Amino acid sequence: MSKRVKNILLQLWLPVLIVLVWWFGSAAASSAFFPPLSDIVEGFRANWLFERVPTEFLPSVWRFLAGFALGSVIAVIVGTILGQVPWLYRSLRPTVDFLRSIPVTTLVSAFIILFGFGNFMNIAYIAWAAFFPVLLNTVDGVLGIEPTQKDLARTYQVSWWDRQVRMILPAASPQIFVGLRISLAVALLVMVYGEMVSTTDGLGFFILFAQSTFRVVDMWSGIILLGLLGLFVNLIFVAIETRVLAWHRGWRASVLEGS
Amino acid sequence: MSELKVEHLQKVYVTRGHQVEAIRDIDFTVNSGEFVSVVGPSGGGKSTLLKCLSGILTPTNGRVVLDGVPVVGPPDGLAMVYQNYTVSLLPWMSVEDNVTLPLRGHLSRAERAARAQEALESVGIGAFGKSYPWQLSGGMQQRVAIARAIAYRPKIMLMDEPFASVDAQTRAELEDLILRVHREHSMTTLFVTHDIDESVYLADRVVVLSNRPSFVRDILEVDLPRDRDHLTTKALPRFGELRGQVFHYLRDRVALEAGAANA
Amino acid sequence: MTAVTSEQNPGGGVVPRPEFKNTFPVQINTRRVPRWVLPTVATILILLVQEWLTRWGPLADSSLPPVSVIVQQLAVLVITPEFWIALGDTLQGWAIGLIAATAVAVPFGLLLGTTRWLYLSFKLIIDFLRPIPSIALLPLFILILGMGMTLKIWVVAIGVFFPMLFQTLYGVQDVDPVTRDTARAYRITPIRRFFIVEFMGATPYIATGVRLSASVALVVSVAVELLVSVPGVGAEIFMAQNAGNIDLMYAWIAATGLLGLLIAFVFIRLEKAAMHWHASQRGVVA
Repeated sequence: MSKRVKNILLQLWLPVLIVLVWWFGSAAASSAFFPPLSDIVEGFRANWLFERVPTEFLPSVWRFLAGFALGSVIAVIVGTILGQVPWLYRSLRPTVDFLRSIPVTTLVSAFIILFGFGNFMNIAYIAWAAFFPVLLNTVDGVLGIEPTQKDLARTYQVSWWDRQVRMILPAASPQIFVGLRISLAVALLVMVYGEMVSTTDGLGFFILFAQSTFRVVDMWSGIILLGLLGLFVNLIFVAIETRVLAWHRGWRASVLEGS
Repeated sequence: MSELKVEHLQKVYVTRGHQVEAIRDIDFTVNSGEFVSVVGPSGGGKSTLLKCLSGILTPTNGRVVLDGVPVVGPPDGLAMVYQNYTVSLLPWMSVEDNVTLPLRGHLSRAERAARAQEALESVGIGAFGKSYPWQLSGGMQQRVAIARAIAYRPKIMLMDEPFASVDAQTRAELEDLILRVHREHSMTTLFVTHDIDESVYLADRVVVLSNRPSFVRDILEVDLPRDRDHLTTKALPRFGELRGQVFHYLRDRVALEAGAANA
Repeated sequence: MTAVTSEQNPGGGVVPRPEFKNTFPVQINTRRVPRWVLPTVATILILLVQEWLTRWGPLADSSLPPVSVIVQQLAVLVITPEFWIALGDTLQGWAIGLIAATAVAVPFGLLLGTTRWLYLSFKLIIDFLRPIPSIALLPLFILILGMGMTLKIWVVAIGVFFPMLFQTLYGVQDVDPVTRDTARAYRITPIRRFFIVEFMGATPYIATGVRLSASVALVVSVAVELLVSVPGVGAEIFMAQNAGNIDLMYAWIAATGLLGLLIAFVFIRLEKAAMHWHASQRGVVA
C-alpha cells in the first residue's frame, strides 16, 4: 500500500467510524439531545439547501465579513502608523492595553446601548473584536522591520508612498497575517455571540432559538453549518495566506540554508 | 564624478545617559572618480562612519561635504551597497523590481526596465531579472545590489563590507567586478572593509582607521598599476609592502591594547 | 486579551520581539526624561479628553458616562459583597474550566504530537471542530446540562481545549530533530527521552497557550453568564443594562477590564518564567 493511500486511510477511519456509530447508535436508542443522524441530515438539507440560506445564513456571513474587513483594515492602517512613530505608540500603549483587556463579551451591552439593535451594531462589534489582534501584530511587524531596509529607503530617496506600500507593508505582512488569523477566529465567535444576544436573524440566533423551542434537529443543523462556515473561511484564509506569503517561505528557506 | 570631503568628523552616541564615542576625528577626501578603501578593525566605527557619510546619522562635530554641499540628511545621488544582501534586497520583489525601486517616480516604466536590464547585464546577471533574490546564490545577490546602485547613476557609491558574507572565490570575482564597474563608470567609490588584502587590491588610496574612538592612522597611496589582477598584482613586491604597512597599523593597535590591558 | 483560538505557526512568530527604537526623524531626547513619563501623561490626557467629551462635549447626551462617574461607581461597587461574590463566581468557572481543559488537552496534544498514526487519525476531526466557537455549542450544552456552574465550566473548557491542544501540538512538532537524534544516540530510554526532548521542548508553547487560554476562558465565562444569567460578572452586566443603570454597567465592564489586565499580567510573568531558558522567543501577539 503506498504511503499516500495509507495516510488518507489513517485520516479517514476514525471520522467514518464515529459517524457510523452515531448513525446507528442514535437510530437505535433515541436521546432527546442526540437525535438520529439521519434526521439531522434531513434537517440540514431542509434548512440549508437552500430554504433558510437568505434569512439565516447570509446575514451572518455578511456581518462577519464586513466586521472582519472593517476592523482589520483600520487596524492595519493605524498599526502601520503607530509602528513608525514609536513614541506615539508608547504613549497610547496603556490605553490600548486596557481596552483590549476588556473581554469582548462584556461589551455587547455597551454596543447595543450605543448603536441600538441591527446590522450596524453587529458589524461594529465584530470590527472592534477583530481590531486588536491585528493592531498589535501590525505594530510588532512594523517595529521589527530590518534597520537596513529603513536606511536604504532613505538613502535611495524612495518616495513616501513607495515606502509605505512597497516596503513597509510587505515587510510586516507575515506578522500581520498572524494577527489576521487570530482575529478571524475572534470575529466568528463575536458574530455568533452577538447574534445570540441581540438579533432576530442569523445563525447564532437560529441555533439558540431552535434550542429554546426544543427543535433539536434544527439546532444541530445550525451548529454543523456553523462548523462548515468556520472550516470554509479558514481554508480560504490559508489559501490566500499561502499565495501572499509565498515569497516569505522561499526567503526563509534560503536564509536558513545560508545561501 | 563627485568629490566627498570628510572634515574632522566626530560622532558620540548618547543612550540613556551613557556616552560612547565611536569616532573621534576622521578627516580625508575622496577625489572625483577615485576608489578609496577604508580599512579598520572590527567594531571600530566603520559602520558609524558610513551612516554619517550617507546622512543617516548627524555628526556630533565636523561635517561631510559632497560636491561642495554639506550633507544634512540623505543626499541625492548617493548609492549604498550593504553587507547583508538577504535583507537589503527586498525578498517580496523580483530582482528587476529591486533594481528599479529607487528609480520609481523619476523614470517611466519602460525607461526603468531598460536601465535595470542594462545594469543587470553589466554585472553579469542579465537573465535573472524575473527571479527572486533569494533564489540566487550569495554572490549573485550581491551583484543585484551592485546593479541597483549602478542603475541609480549615483554621484558616489558607498560600500559597507559588501563581500564579507560570501566565500573567498566569489569574493575574488566580485572584487574584479567592482574594479570593472569603477573603471567603466568612473564611479567615485568609497569601500569599507576589514579585509587588508582587499583594501589594497581595489583602491587608489587606503584610509587606515584606528580602533574606537576612531581616527585616521594613515592614508596610503596605492601606486600599483591600475590594471589589477589577482595573480599578478598580488605577486608584486609593492603589494606585499603596502599590505604589510596596513597590517602593521592594525596589529599595532592590538599590541598596544594588550599592553595597556596588562599595564 | 480577546484572542479565542491561538495560532502558533511553527515557522513564526516571524519576528522576534523588538525593542522600541526611536527612528523617527524628530528625536525625542530620552536622556533626562524617564520612559514612563510620556505614556503616563498621554493616558491622563486621554482620560481628561474623555471626561470633557462626555460631560460637556459632543458625547454628553450619549450613554457613555464620564470616567470620573465610572470610577466613582466602581469604588462604590468594590466594597459591596455582591461584587466579590460575582467575581468569585466568574473566576470559579474560569479556573475550573481552564484547568480541566489544560489537563486533558496537554497530554492529548503530547500524545498526538509524538504518535504519527494517532495524529493522522484525529486530524480531520480536530480540524473540523476547531473553528466552531464554543459559544455556538452553548445551546447544546444547555439542553444536556441545564443552566448553572456546570454549564459554564463545560463551555469554558471546550473553548480552551482546542487552542491548548493545538499549541501543544505545535510545541511538540517544533522540536529540533537534531536534539531528538542526539537523545536517541545517547541511548536514553524512550520515556526519559520523551520527557527531556518533546515535553521540555513544548513547554514554551504550552506556556504561551496557557496565557492565551486564560483570556479566552474569561471571555467565554462572561459570555455564558450574560447569555443565560448564570451567576457571575456577565449576569451583573446584563442586569444593570436591563435595569437601565448604565453607570453601573460600565463600572462592571471597567472591573472586568482590570481583571483582564491582571490575568494578562500574571500569565505573561508565568509564560516568561517558563520560556526564559528557551533559545528563541517565538511570539503570537494577541
